[in-house]
Order: sequence, then structure tokens, then C-alpha cells
Amino acid sequence: MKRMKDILKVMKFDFLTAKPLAFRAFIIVAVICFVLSLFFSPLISSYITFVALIFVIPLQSVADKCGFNKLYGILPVKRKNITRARFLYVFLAHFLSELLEGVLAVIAFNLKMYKVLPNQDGEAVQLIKKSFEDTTLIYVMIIGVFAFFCLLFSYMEMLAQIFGRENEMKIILITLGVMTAAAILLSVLNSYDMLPPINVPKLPEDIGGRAIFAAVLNIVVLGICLLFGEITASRLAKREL
Amino acid sequence: MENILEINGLNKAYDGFALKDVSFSLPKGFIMGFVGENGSGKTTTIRSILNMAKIDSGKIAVFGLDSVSDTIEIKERLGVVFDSLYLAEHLNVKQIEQQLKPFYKDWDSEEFFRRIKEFDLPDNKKVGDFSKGMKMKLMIAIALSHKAELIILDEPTSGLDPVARDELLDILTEYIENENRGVLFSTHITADVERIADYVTILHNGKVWYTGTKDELAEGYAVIKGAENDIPSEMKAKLIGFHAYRNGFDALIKTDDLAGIPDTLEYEKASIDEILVYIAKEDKYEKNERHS
Amino acid sequence: MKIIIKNKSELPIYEQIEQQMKSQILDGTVTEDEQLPSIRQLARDLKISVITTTRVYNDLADEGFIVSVAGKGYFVAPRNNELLRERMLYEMEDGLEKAVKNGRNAGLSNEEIMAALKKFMED
Repeated sequence: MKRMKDILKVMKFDFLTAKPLAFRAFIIVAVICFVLSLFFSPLISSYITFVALIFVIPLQSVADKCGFNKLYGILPVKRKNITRARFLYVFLAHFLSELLEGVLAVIAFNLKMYKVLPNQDGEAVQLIKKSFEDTTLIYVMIIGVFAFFCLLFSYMEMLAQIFGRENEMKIILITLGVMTAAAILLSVLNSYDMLPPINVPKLPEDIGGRAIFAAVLNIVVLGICLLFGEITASRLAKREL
Repeated sequence: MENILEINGLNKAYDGFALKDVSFSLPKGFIMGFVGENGSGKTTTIRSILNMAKIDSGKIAVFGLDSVSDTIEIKERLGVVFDSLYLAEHLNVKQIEQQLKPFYKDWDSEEFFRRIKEFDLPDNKKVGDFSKGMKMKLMIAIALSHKAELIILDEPTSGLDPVARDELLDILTEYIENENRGVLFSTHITADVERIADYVTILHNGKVWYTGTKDELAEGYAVIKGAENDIPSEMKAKLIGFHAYRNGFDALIKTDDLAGIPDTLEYEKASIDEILVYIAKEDKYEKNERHS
Repeated sequence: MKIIIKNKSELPIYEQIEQQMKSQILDGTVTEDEQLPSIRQLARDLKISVITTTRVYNDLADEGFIVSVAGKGYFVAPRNNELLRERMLYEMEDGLEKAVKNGRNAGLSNEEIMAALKKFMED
């Protein structure tokens, strides 16, 4: 209980740090995304996740530049909860973006604003119209972008906090290298039919099924974020400020 | 007398530097000047009190609470002023207030803005653009707004102009008017503590060289000068930071050791600054003696 | 009460304050039974340490210039206090003794010392 309260305080602190830097830019870009997604393609709404990252990205450079280590040393909050809060904050930024994107997509699908565009029979409008016909793509896009970037950012947060910002580039390159090597290995194995067959489960088609799937995915991602946070917190707690 | 801060046998080693058996205590209701040259261990001691540095051994009690196991409770009641600001520089004082408020049970917004006004701090300017003196006053305003009972200042006056330094002394003497409070004031500008400090702790090479009331320190040491030949042989060993030059010598001496000095030697009371200088000279002198 | 602290003075701060308080009590600038600032108020006003002002009040109380009333603070002692008078007499005698001694050391005759004293009394 006390822990959750502390984490929420620190998340609010982080939000207030980022807000003056990010808020205006976020609103402007989000409105543009919204308008574009209404008229041209609901897919555009999934850009909001990228825009929301401006609430996350500046945090650590502000903390480094302004000597937050000293502040962490004097605030009546456990060091571990300060670290945990950052990971929950990263999750929340992605989660709220995902929600917002979902709402925007639903609005866009229902309004079908492309109908007001001129030259309805033109090739362009036909393409736009197509993007308003299939909800599966946008559904996969929104939850996919959410899950991928949320995991990526909390993973990078973990590495950066443990190994230091200055080593971040190296860490990313190594990670990408390992992932690429694994992908190549898998595709080679695949081309020689050496992989056991995997049944890719079909994504649910109905609204209820999609909601449940999205909820499960969110919980799994949250769990992984918290795990990364816990690993980072226990590593950092051993260090001096 | 109840101690608001008590350090017992603190040891903390880093590569090339160590705090060795540091012990001192500050009774409630007083200001302690914490002095020593740069690198003497003042900041490490303060970081240990704050549990920012993990101590190797020893015990630190703040308000009678343990600095490691009760650190959260201690920090509720503790105000800290560092030599540099620890806040997001792109925010103004209103935004800073919003940020810090949730962390303290006893936060008093009215008091905060009253202090901001009293200290002439603009409330719409980014705190990163504040002058050094304004930043120091902002950190004090924060300490006062959560009703800190102990304020620890780590080199708050380095790089401050005389006006801001004087204002700080004003603020601290006002603060200590309440006898349930305490101030630990680390500085290498001893003129600041010379006047307002009740107690002084001198740290040298990671060890406590003196701790006690300022008056006993001031009365306990004298600067002695004269011709080197006039020093009785048994006295020479008692001189601290002996320094000979062409026309004579000067050194620090305990006033207790002054008994029976020849009239040809002159002495006068030593300032804290002079004491620090002679302690440093003693090091060099010892090194040279060993080499020769 | 007016107190001026000179940082460059040879005298320690507590003695400077004691002297100034004494002379203001003696010359009536501060009237008897007047309440004095508390130890901590005085320390704040003068921007000096609490131990210093504590020492000042203890010394002045010991010498009978001020009295401490439990729970209320410090007050200027009644002026016709016998102790105070005795003390002033003692200080006068002490001063005269020093003056005579210094005069003799300078090789002055008794008459010359008396003349110097008279001149002071006329001033």
C-alpha cells in the first residue's frame, strides 16, 4: 500500500517534469493525427504512441543534468520505489496512448469522414475507403505498436539505468546484433525445414474476443515491465547515490 | 542534552580516501559548523548521514533514529541544501512546489510561497536561471516548508556573493530561534561559521581533528610567533604546523601548552581559518621531516 | 537597547556585548525591570551563536546586572541594587588602582596624577 502510494507520487513527479516540455507538442501532434485518421486512415491514429514518447524520453536527461540523484537522496521515498515508478510510468504512457488510439479508431470508423472528400470516384479516395473497411489491420497495429514499443522502451530503460546512459548505444547495438543473429538462424533452419511446425493461433474476430485478447496482452506487457523494473530496482539499490 | 545528530565510529572507505572513526554529536537547539579543507570528508560524512553513501561501520542517529533503517522517517523531518540545485531546471517555483508537495506529510504550501516572497524569488522564472544565491534560498524555502527540524547544508556558501552569504546567516539564526531545531553547516569559508556556530567540528584527512564548542576551540589554540632559537626544546614538539622563515617562525599551539613560554615569543588567539591552515601545514611539515 | 558588534575588535564578541549592556544599564538607557530579549532572540538579532548570548546573560546575571525570572525571561535588575553599587565601587577602585600604577610607571608624581584625575572629572 505504502509502496504503491510512493510509486504514484514519483510517477506524478516524473509527469510534472516532462509536462512543460511535452504537453503542447503532444496536443498539437495528437490533434493532427486525429484529424488525419478521421479523413485518410484510422491507421494513422497509432502514431500517437510515438508522440507520447516525448513524455518519457526527456526524463532521464533532465535527471542527469539536474542532479536528481541528490534529490533522490533527500526525498522520503525508498530508492527502489523511485526506480519502479519509472517503469510503471513507461507502461502507462504506452497504455494511455493505446486507449486513445482505440477510441480514435472507433470514432474514425463510425464517422467515415472520407465521404466528404472531393472526387469520391478517384483512385485516392478508393484507397482511403479500403482502409476504412478492414478493422483487423488497425486492431493488430494498435496493440502491436503498444506491445512492441512498451517492451522496447522498458527494456532500454533497464539497460540504460543499470549500465549507464553513456553505454546505451553500445547496448542497443549488441541487442540488435543478437536479435538479428537469432532471426537469421531461425530463417536458415526454417528454409531447411528443420523447425518443428508451429500453429499460429488465429486472432479473434469478434469484439469481445478482441477485447479479451488485448486485455491479456496488456497484462502480460505490464507484468514484463514490472519485472524489468524489479530487476533494475534491485540492481540500483545496491549502489550509492 | 538531547542530541539531534549523533555519529559514532563512522568508517567509510573509497579508493584513495577514507573516513576513519568519525564521531561527533550536535545537541538540539544549536548550529554546528562542519569545516575542513576540500577533500577532508565533509561531503562523504553528509552523504552517509543521508544514507546516500553506504557506511562500512559505525552508527549515525538523527532525531534518535537510525540513519539506515529509519532513513525515510528521518528524511520527512530533514532539510538539505547542497552546493548545487537538485531540481528540474526548466520548471518555475510553482511547478517545483507541485512536484515536491506530495512527498511530505507536513508540507505547507502557504509557508512555501510566503518564503518565496520573503526571499524575493520570482515565481515565473525557470529555477535553472536563478542566481546561485537564489538557488540556495529556494532549497532553504523547501526545507522550511516541510517543517524540517534539522537542516544540513553542504558547502552552501561556495561561490556565493557576500550579500547572499549574509542573508543565509540571517535565515539560519532565525531558524534556530526555535530551540527544537538544529543546523549542520559544512563549509570551507570559516568566516560564515565563526559568528553563528555554537559548535565546530573540524575534519582533516577523513578524521575528526576537533569537535566541541566554538568558544573552547577559539580559546584552546593560539598562533605563536618569534625567533626559532627562543623556542624551548620541549615545546617544539607541541607546535602544530611549525613554519620557519628567514626572520623567525610561526606555529599553532594549544593554549594549555603556553605555560612557561619565554617573553620573547608572541602569541595571539587563533581564528578557525588559521587553525585550518596550520593543520594543513603540519601535514607538509611531517612529510618533509620524514624525508630529511 | 543598542548593541554594535565589531568583527575586527580585539575583544571577543561576548565581552563586547557585556560591556555595552552594562554601560546601558548603568547610564539608564535601559530602565530597571525592563524585559530583555530572550537568549535566542538576541542571538538572532545580532546574528551570533546561541552559546555566546547564553554566556552574556549568565555573566550579567552573575554580576547582578540582570535577573532571570523562571518562565518569563531576563529582566534588568533594580538599579539601587546593593550588589550593583558594590560592583561599581569595586570597578572604580580597580580602575583607579590601575591608573595610579600606570602613572607611577610613567614616572608621574602624586600631584601630577591627581591633576590628571581632576581634569577627567571636569570633562
